[in-house]
Amino acid sequence: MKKTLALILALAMACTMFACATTPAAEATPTDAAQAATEAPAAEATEAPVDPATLSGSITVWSSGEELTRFVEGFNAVYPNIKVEVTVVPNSEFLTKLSTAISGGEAPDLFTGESDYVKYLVETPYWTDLSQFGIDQYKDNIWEYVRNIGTDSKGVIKALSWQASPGGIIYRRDIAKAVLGTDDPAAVAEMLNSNAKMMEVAAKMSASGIKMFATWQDIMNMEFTNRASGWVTDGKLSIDANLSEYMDMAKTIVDNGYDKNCDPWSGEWYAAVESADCFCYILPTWGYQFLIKPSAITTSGQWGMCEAPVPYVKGGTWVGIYDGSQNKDLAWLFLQYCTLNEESVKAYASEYSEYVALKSVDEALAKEAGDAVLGGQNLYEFYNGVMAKIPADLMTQYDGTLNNAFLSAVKSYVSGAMTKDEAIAQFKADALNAYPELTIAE
Amino acid sequence: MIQPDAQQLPRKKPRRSTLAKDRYGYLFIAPFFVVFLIFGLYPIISTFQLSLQKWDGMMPAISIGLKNYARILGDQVFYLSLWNTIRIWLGNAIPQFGVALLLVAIFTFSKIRGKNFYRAVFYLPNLITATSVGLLFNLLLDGDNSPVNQLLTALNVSGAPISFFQSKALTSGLVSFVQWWMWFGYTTVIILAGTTTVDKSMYEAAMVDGANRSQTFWRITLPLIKPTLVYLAITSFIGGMQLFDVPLTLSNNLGDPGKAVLTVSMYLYNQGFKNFNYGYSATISCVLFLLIAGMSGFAYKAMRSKDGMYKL
Repeated sequence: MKKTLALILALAMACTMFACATTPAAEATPTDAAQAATEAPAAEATEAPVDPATLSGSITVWSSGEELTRFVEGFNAVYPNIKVEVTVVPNSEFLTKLSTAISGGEAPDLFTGESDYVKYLVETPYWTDLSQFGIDQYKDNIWEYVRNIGTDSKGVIKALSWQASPGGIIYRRDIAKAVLGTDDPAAVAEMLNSNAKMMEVAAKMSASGIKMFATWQDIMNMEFTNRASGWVTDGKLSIDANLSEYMDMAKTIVDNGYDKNCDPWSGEWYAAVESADCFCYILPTWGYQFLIKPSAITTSGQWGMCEAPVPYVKGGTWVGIYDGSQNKDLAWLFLQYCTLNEESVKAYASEYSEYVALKSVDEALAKEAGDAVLGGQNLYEFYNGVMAKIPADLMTQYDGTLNNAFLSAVKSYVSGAMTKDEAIAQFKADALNAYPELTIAE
Repeated sequence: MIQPDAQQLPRKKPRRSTLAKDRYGYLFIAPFFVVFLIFGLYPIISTFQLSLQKWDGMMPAISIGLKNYARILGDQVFYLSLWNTIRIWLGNAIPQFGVALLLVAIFTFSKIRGKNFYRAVFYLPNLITATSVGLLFNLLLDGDNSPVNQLLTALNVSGAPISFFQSKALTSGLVSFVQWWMWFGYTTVIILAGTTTVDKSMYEAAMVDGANRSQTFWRITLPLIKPTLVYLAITSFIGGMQLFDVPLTLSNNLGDPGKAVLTVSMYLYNQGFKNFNYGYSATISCVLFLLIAGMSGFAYKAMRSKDGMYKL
């Protein structure tokens, strides 16, 4: 009996790994917070200017990426006595850690929300209504798409972003010239302005021993904008006809060997930038910033950007102020500095060649010199053109899981493991399994 | 009449001090129980409570009774993940024990030079964290230009380059293989340690009786190390049922292709930390707990025959 008991205890211990909740990564400083609340005078944007040096306190920020840390130095040059502590929490565990921190009463003053779950966060009460800080006066200068995502279903703006992520086709000029006879973005875009035309060019490339794409999976970035509605409308899941068409295109690409058969973010995917036989990537702003620009050494100057068959946006990170924060006024100053202050946002954009959410900054940068990697093409000018055509926001709170489930189903179809109908049935089953409350639209 | 009382008084004192000494024992074992109650028992109870709720981690939890348990009964993905887990475990446990016993037989009966060196080398893979091992194999095998595919292409192997992670059987086999590679050294070392407890005179007696090596191994070594084998089998089963890191890092989070390496732990992780169905995730966790507890208890009983542990 004792041994059985010991065994049960041992088993119980072994099983506890499933029960352990994760602990918050960042140390919140409630004492600092309380202090700051008493010390810091309310900073009203519209009131007579307060000397920034008199504002003091400290704020905590949780970010799923490095970007916000880049603003801290500049912020402290203006507000030397406001201490900003940015903790980078990996995206994969961001929500888990955030929910733990919120229930433990130790949530950061500001936290980010990635495109995969930002729509979920704006519907929760945890991001505060930004109208209390006079967001309305900035509204018109923020790209509508970015503003819409940060707005909840009742029309309250809760989160902003420093970035916007429109996309096009990033292609090799030298290959375009050799195979297509021109490297002019407008002419190349014309040759690629539908799925069918892309496949024609892919066949031409293939005949010259060149792979059209690094991977068919990149095209998904565009296809998610190429829909009439998002995954879920009023609790009903629908698969747009264009996505079905995309599945066929992916199959064609793989069957004909039009891509390098690698996964995004894999070593081969990066390596294809410098290879002699890969024509293009269908990626938004972050693709240029994190893949092409840093990887293009010998191919620098050989890249160009042209419009994809469908103007699209994919990804992005939003940031809002925690509703329970004791330091909302100081947090607002930082949020404003990162997302609304033309001067700081422009300095940031020029340094990191990131496309930003402020229209005025993008327009100003479009008039400046172009990018050397792009052979002098100005990416702001290009993306401004795309942003003007972006349809309404198609993001839903289910995107993180459903996008992955869809990709998994398309992979099964493309590899030949499933028929198209089986793959679609698989996707529907996975969607219902993850979100049992959904129904399938007929 | 005063005297007896006076005599009784000093007697009581030593008795009390003996009693008090007993309590130190509880004090010494207390740290384990305190830690266990906080980090072991409490989370289990709270997991069970959670399994009766619907909770996304952010908004208030809603009590839904046994609905989650009703759902798991008809959940095809759960059964699939359970089968995957058991299949992967069998695929690595059987070869693991086989190879370990073979190595033990070799080490026991032949004088091999550098026995300790081999033992250390076999054990080495176990020192690397499972996540790194998963990533390592992924880097070696994933993609048409992966090192393994380059090698296969150079050797003109037909079918190369092979898309390892597009085949269910290959991916599942790979997970089993990685698990085997990581753990056979450990199993060997533990069984070898078990064999050192076998009295040398037994072997001598067997030799005198004319038993050959194979008979000695099957009739003497094996029965005498049975407690070690039982221990290994149960811990291996528990570990196998909780398999998580290798399939996760070797494939994508979803256990693709076609959920071939989606284990129960991965499934409950995805339900909890990807889809934010914490309640349902807790339910899977509870069911898995019961399964492991039940199976282990059964295995423990079955292998402990009525005659005691030392008889086959």
